[in-house]
Amino acid sequence: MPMDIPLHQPKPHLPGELGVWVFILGDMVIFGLLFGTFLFYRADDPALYQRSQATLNQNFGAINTIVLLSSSWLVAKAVQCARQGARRQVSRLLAAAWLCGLVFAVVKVLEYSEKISHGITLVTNDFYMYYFVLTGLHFVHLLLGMGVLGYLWIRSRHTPAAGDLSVLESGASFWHLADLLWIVLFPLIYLIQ
Amino acid sequence: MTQSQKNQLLCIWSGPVFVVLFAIGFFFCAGFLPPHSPSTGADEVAAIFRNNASMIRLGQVIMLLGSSMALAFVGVLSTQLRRIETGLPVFTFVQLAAGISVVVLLVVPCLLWIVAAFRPERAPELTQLLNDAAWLMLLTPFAPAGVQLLAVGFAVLGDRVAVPVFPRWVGFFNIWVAVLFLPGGLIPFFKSGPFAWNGLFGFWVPAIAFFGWFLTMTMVMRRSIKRQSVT
Amino acid sequence: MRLLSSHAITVVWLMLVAATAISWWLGTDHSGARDPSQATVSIIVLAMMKVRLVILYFMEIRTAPLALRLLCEAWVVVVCSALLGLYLLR
Repeated sequence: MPMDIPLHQPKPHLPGELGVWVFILGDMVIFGLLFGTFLFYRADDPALYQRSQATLNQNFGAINTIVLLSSSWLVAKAVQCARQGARRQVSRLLAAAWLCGLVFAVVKVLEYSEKISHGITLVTNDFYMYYFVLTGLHFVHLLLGMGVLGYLWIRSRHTPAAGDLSVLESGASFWHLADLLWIVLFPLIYLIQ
Repeated sequence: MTQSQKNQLLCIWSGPVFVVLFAIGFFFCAGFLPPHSPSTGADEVAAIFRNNASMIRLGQVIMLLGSSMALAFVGVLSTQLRRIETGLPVFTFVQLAAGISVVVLLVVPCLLWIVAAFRPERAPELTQLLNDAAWLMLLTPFAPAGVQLLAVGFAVLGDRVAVPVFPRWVGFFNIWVAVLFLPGGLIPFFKSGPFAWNGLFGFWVPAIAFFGWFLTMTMVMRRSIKRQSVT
Repeated sequence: MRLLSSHAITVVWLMLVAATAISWWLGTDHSGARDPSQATVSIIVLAMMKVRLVILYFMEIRTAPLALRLLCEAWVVVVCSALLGLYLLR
């Protein structure tokens, strides 16, 4: 770790504003609780959870993971471009990230409709309860994130203003939160045995 | 310090008073902590109300008193938002409207429990009905509370002056607490488990968040009102 | 320096995709050739390592104030231990 710190140690930089980190850390704690609760109750009936997990589309889940990872890359690149003053690039990258979010959303809706059309809902059994609630809460965050990206995209098209970079960093951090929550959710719900 | 500031400072104490009265009523008197499980049978529920009728009645009256205190809190929070909004104060009104509806939804469950404890010899199904109605009314309405919190959040985040009324983290904090209330919408679907009205996410997280919000906003408003006299 | 960091996020992305592929392979291989609890432990650990990469490089916590970095790292450690503990010990 120490090896990649440059000779001239840059001043520590808080990405975005303090308040957004209150929200991000708070959400991380709550989702941590949700993850723990899921594993806790899973131990009561692992066979049920295995059986139900087998009905999930792991490929959809994996695709969504790659899509979100890529969108995070796009957003991180956008922040880099903003620092270099490449405004047009910033807009394009944000738009591309938003489209990734849209792909995720479409896949999610397809997944949910498939389940519901087979009569599987959040009250069908405990596993499906966690499946719908956890991915549902995450979906809410993703949709919020898409709203944030949209707002950032609009801002990136106007003449640059003073606090722009900080707002961009704040919004980017929130988007990465949506990404990192899914990174844990996907294996926990779709993959573990 | 002006008379108005003194009045505001007086009103913010309604927050902690509400928390204390609610705790005394809910926990020490009525004994509703931990909450009864939604899967409890009607006979058992009826027995609870029969055996603890007096304490439940007392506890609920205390909770009633505490809940009404929250109205003053909503009022003073509105005055602070009014300070932020220089034009037509839309979020001030939204917060006031939502805050009042939240208090109503605190008061009515207390009354329902009082009704249940008033004549505990009723048919058990009737007592269970009142108990169900009270719990569901207390914990399900994530939306009015959410609207109140989002109004505060948006108002605070839109406060773009050099010395804002509230520090910006307060805006994000309100939005986060609104998210913590979301699982309330799951309560109608479950009679057991973490998303039921006695579950980790159905009760404990929103309850801690709810009271934490009162205490946090009390401190934040106190600082903000006092600073008014300096500027 | 700028060049280095602009490539860093791409390298991180590649690592994340690779880790996803490995987890997916571990999680979808039901041939019974592997002990499921070993696979699960690997999957959980991989997931938390991916999270750490996102936090440090995408969210730029690597260059953030120490307090924030410590909080984020603590979250990773606590959640990872809790998940592994719950899976293995319950």
